[in-house]
Amino acid sequence: MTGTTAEVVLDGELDISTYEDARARLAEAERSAPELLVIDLAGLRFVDSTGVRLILSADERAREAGRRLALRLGDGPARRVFAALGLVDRFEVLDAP
Amino acid sequence: MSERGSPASALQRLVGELLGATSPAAIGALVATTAAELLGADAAAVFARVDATTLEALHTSGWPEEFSRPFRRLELHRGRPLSDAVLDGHPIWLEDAAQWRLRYPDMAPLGTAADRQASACLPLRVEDRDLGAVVFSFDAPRAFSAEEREFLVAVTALCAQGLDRARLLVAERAARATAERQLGRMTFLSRTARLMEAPLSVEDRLQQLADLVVSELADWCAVHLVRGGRVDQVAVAHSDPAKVAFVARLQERYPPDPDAPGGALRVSRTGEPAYYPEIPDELLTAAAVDDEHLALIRSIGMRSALVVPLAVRGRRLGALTLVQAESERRFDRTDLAFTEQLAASAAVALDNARLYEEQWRTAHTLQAALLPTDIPAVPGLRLAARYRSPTDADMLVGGDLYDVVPEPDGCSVVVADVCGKGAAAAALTALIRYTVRAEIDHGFGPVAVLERLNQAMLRASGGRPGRFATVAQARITRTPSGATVRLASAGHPAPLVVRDGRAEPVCAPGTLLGVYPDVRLTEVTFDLHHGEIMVLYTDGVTEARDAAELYGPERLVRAVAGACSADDLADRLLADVDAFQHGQQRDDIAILVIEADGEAAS
Repeated sequence: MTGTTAEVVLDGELDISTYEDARARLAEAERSAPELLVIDLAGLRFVDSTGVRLILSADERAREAGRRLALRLGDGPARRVFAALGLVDRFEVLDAP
Repeated sequence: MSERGSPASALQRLVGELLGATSPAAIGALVATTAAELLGADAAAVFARVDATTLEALHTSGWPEEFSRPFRRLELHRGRPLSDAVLDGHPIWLEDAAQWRLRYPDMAPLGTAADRQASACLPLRVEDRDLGAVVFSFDAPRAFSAEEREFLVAVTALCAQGLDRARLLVAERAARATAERQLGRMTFLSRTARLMEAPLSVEDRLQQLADLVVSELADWCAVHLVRGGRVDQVAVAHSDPAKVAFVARLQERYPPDPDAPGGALRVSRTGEPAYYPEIPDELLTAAAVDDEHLALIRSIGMRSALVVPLAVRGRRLGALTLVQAESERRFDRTDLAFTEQLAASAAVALDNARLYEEQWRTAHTLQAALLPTDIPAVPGLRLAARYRSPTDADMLVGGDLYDVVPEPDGCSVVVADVCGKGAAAAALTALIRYTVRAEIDHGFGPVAVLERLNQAMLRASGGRPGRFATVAQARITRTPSGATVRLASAGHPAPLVVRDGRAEPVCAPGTLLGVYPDVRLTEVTFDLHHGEIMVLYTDGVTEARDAAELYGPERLVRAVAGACSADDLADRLLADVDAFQHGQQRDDIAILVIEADGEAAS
């Protein structure tokens, strides 16, 4: 495999209270313009619609910039929420449940 | 020549007095009088070095006024005895008129004026610090003996040390005062900033600002706001409530002249600050309507005032007025600058607060308008709906929605949750409500309704992925045994069906709406038999929190399992969620319950 990879690990809770911090960390990773950006959500204890919106907008930016974006969902709340919203097959998910 | 005690005791006195003196002026006075007396000089002058080229007299004694006046400020000029002493750092001794004429022919007439024959010019130095110079003059010619020169130099050195200490002390005091003032003002600004962010109404915030100003900066403070075509006084503060009441009565009896120059009403309109370091009585006389009014205004005892505009981005919001009265304090330019800074930060906060309040009102109004005021009666079905906005009135409303559309053979229902809060979310909620209604009226089934809604949402966001929503939509048709439900869900929490005392989720997988042009949706069909109940809800239910965890789907299932009617289920669920989160609701909650009505069918 060639190219650069950046990985952002988000854990704890991803909601309105942690949104700004997570957004800043994603922006930081995006600034290095990696060919692949991996967002690891496997360790999240909670993710609400604000958190989902953050990932959706990162996906939109990746699409516009022609970058790959991939997720790790683990087998906890992040996978449940992404499944409930019909989003699992919209992303490149690196890990199996 | 004055009478004096022994040189030793006089020197001791001088040293004691120099140690006690704390300002350059006091040191200068001691040198020019006590030291001169000690040395038997008939006149003396002490000069401080102001900058590289200038000396300034700190004190003179023994010179006629007309003689010393031109020498209050001296340019250093080589070739003059005092300047040479300063520039070279050595004393200049001139023992009689002949020496003057010899060494300073140009200066001789001046140097020997007022019949002074002898002069000693000594630099005031401490280490390499050049502090100025001192001149001692004597009426009679005087041969300065080596011993006398040594004594003069020693006394001058003592004076220089005293002067140096005093200057350092003054500089340090000034620096400390500046630092304390800065620190105090920074603290004050941060306190006002926090205050302006407090979850209070605009009026309460401004009253607290006025109270804070009165506790630190001024005797009186008033805040005026522009509202439509009017300027209202919304806050006034003084440490004594009786005085506040007095002014209120005064203003009621004599309403302020809106065009009074420098008045708060005018400053609010023009945005030009008004600054009165002193309030002359003529100003009060001019402002007074009659003698009684004048007497009343005078009784307030105003001494000094500042009126600064509250303005942001070119918009004039009002004015902040500060008045000094009984404390006898006066405002200076620094106070004006600080108050303008304070007003600017308050105005920004105020503007944000106003926008916020407007948004808050808009969102609440919209939200209220979006929910049906009455749930329609639908034959064969019993319906119940509940909506709860967050407990904290300051929280923005979310985009939760429910709606019921009667049909000839039953009804269509929708429950939706728009991501985000505030006016933008409420606007999208409105779009969802009206689109769903229209598509239902066109006769589309649940999957088609949601697909068409998705297209409408994408169009509304200009074809780009926008704010998303989860939506559950069901078509409910009466049947002899109860009802048939066709359900589609776009990423919405799975509805529960309660039958035989047990609650089970009904899953209709689907993609959330508003992001992807192609959504995958599935329709599930199931029956609700008489007495069976379906509940649709938003994630404000399952994501309700106590201190430790989320309410979650398991608690939801347990809470609704035993429900015996639509209303019973709605009440039980809300009560259970309330108890769980101890009355602290963070998100909004919508619940819609449909029960197949056994009685109507029998």
